[in-house]
Amino acid sequence: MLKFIIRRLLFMVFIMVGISILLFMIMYKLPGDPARTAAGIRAKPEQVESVRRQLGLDKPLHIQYLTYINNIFRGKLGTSVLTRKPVASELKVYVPASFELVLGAMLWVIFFGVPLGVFSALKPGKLVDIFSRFITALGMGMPVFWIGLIAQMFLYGKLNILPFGGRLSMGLIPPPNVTGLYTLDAIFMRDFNLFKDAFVHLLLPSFILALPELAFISRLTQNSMIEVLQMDYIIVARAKGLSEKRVVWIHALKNAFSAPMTMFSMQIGMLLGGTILVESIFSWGGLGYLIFQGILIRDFPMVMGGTLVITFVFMVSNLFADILYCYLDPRISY
Amino acid sequence: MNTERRNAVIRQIKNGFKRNPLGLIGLIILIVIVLLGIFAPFIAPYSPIEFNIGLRMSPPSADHLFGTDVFGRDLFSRVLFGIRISLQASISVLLFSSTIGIISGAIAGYMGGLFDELVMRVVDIFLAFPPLILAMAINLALGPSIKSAMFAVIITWWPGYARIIRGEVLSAKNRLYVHAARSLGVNKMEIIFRHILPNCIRPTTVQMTLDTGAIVLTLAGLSFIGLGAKPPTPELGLLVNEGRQFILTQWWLATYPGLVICCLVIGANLFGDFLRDFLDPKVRGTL
Amino acid sequence: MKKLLYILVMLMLIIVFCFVNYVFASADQDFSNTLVIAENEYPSSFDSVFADNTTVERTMALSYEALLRFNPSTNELEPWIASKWSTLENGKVFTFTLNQNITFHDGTDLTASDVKFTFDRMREIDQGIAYEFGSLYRVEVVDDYTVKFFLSEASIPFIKIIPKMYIISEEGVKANISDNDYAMTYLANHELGSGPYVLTSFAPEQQAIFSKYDNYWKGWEGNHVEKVIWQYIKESSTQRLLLEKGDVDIIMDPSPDDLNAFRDNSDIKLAEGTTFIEDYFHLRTTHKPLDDIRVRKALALAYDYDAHIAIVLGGSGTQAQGPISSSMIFHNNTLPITHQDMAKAKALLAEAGYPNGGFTFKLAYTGIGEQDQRTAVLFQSNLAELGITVDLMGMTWDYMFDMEQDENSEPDIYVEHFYSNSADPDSGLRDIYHSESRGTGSNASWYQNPKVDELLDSGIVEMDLVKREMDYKEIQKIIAEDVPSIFISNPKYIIAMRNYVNGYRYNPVNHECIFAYDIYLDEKP
Repeated sequence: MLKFIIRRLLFMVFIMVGISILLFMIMYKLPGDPARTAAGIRAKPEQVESVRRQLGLDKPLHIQYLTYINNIFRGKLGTSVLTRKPVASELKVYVPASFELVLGAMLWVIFFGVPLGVFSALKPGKLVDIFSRFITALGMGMPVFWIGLIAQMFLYGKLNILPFGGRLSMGLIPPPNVTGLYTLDAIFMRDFNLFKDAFVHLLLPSFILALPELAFISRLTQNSMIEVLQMDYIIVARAKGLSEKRVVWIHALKNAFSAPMTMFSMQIGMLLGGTILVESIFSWGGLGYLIFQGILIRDFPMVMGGTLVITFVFMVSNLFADILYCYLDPRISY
Repeated sequence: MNTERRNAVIRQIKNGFKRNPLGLIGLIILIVIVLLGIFAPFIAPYSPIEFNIGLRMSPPSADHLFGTDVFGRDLFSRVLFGIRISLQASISVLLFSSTIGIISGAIAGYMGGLFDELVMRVVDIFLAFPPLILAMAINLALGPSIKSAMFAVIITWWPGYARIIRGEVLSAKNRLYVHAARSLGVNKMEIIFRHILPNCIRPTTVQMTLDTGAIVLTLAGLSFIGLGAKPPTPELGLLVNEGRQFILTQWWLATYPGLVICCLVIGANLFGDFLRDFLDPKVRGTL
Repeated sequence: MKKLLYILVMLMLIIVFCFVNYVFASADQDFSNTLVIAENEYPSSFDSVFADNTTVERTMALSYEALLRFNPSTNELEPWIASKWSTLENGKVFTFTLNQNITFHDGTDLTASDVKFTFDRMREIDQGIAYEFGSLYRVEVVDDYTVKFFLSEASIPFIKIIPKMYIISEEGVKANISDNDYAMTYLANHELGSGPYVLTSFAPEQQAIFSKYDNYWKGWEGNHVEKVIWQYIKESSTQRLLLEKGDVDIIMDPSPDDLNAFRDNSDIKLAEGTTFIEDYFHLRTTHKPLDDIRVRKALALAYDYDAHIAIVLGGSGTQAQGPISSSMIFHNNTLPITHQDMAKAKALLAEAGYPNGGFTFKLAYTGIGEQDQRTAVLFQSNLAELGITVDLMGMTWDYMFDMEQDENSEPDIYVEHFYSNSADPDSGLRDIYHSESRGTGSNASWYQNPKVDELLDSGIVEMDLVKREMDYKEIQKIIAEDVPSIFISNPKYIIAMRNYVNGYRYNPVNHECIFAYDIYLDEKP
């Protein structure tokens, strides 16, 4: 097992290097001049040149890349071309915001997606099954940007039962930074009003983000459950006289769980990478929008830093999923 | 195929739809939308790019089924052409990415060794790369347009196919019929293309149908954030973007295109589900 | 199974509880005397050197002050930090006398040394607003409250740029320098000004909160808001929703399509300010066939100006007359205003040898999905009627700027705007139409006319106001006749606010700024 983990970690390093090279090459081809963006729209050519030298953008490509990598090893993720602030400090602010969204989405998926899948597996062909298939198709079919706008218009605009977006209500000051997740930090502060407020703001955006995943996981769970329920040992368990509830929720689910679980853990990384649409609609200051901005203005350190973070999380969650898989299914060992 | 076989297949299809009525619905939706797209130039009452400033921002009416937009263009006509564009773009992306993926996956899987390692490492890098970011960056680098959006999505999509096919090829490699072919002296390429690949069609087809929806969504998403089709092209995602600010008042501008995307993707997914079950020999046998 | 159920139920309870609480909790915060403003972009810095960036300047207007301020009602400069000023040596030396009771938020006194420091720092950083102060080469401290500005060349309009030099606390900067960065890192999240409001909280992408500075030198007698909250909301439809519900007091980015709805809404009023802004299509005069003046004139006759004002500006603005804004001093109002005339355009094209058009233009614009895209699409449709194809190139502004600076770049037409930093026609005309400006980006048309150059160069030192006026009017006439650009419109600046907000006045020099100190609220419901 240990060897497996070490091999995977080495693999991760390889991947991150590969990605950084690929991204670097692509960003080089992007139109626009980051030195100009940093210098300001009205800067004279001499000013732009001086900024270019300042940021090291006048050196040849491979030198820039190596300098960047070198800095990473020294713990510096570089300075954003646009805001002149260290990338690491920006990430510290924005990554937890996206993380909070993703965690919220995960909760929705686990507590709604899985049970839905289980219930529809128990009664195939009946209403529940058709309902779940329909919801699944809906969830995976709806453009996130569209349903988000409609939900916002409805729930905030017409019915006024949810806030329009943002992480906190107007005028409230965010809790002191422990994890960066407002909900958790509010709990640490024992400020329950703040927690309530942050929680309510989290509800809709994380739900919208979760929709496609919800649908997918519910489907997967359903399929997995159906397969498992047909297995011999389930028949044996029933024959032994165990209650249906025990059979389904403990024995069957534990084994059916592995497939959706693995997929799910992989999706965490995906979710993190795809938050930009939700963030933009609900004014949620997160990583997605940060990276998008960065790409538009060729802020390489920012984009690189953000992408590396997402990739890192993605790979770690994959690793975690594989280890979990191994734990859940004793037949597999590394 | 002879009549008996044909009848059997027809019966299987009928039973399949009976068991999974949603699959039939999905197919119908797909057919309707595809037909709308194909015959758009004939059905559309107006030109999708013709301005009519006097009638701008009018709500749905008999004359303009979906209302008009900011410049007075008929939204219904725009949506029809939008379907056409989305379908054309998505199918192209699908074909290109699956072809590239299949070829590279197949060769890698069969050749094995260093070549396999190399190709798979590249695939892994691409798969680990957050897809939206990759697509955005490539698109911007090439200058936003629907062609660059297509190119960007193809690049993010082919590794998925490569991986699937490689897996299939690897498991097929050791089967009896391959050994037989080899001992008969059939050369490598022929083995790959004439013997192994046809058996891989099943998982690929299913994947492709299921991917249709995702690709339509990805292209629409890219156009939505401004990195896709250029105005005045009526790509569906772009239409939703154009209608975004008016969601409260001139709601039709964003709602209808979004609804159409929805239907298209749902139809593709429902049918894809059905197809996957249908092509699964275990399930097929029970039909 | 039971455990799962319990967790599910608990989760539902939490959701419902928070919900109910949120819905029924009326503002347990005191929002009276607080101004809540929604805008779509948060400032990248609170450093006074970046005053050229309107988003940054917005917050600057609350926390910083300059020596003088532009008064839009009188069209004159008025004293602010400086109580009086004088010019010597025909516009080469300026002396300012400062008010004596001003303190910065960090407690230090504002003296001449801070003014000198602000200038020196700006010069060394050489970014942001520094480019407007190119001719200022030295600032001298005469005594604690007197300061002298020395220019390398005489410039009559120089004084008009003074409102953009926001004075920063010398001791504050020195106390927060890290790594030789002139305190720029510190200033990304803090401010070091002397203005009426202090930045008390800043969450990027979320909100910034400014609270009353008790020791503000002008005092707090009379009606002023005591707190300002900037809420960052990207979608204009969301901003509109918030305004209509009364959850925000002012929105900075109303969409032109919402304006009519706001006009009809009795709880909302629109504040339209006359700006110095002008919108253009710059035509690259070195590209065929744009080098032929008949083709350029034909293009100018092809654009649907009325549709532009209705669709792009939402009815708020007027058509342009000549190369500078009609509200600028010395504007030449005898110039002809072009109206769309397709027949004449066709005739001119035919005369130039293109009776059916038959060529393609590349048109560059910024802001994919926004206002300029509409302008571009409109023009594309107009030109299609002449048989001319337009290929749209939407891009980010820094990319477009690069292309404008490059003599060999592709685009033939650029959608552009000019925002004047001072109430003088010189900067607009010089930046865009002086031959030396070719290659700086603002002269996207690559225009050159020696007569215009001559008049601009003499005009900047011309002391005789009457002669100066004549010269500038002549410059405008020449440029209008040469048609290097299509002069589209002078947009008004509009923000929408609730009826109980009073005291707002648009200031064209501090474009998009809200001087909250002048604002007060009627009782809020």
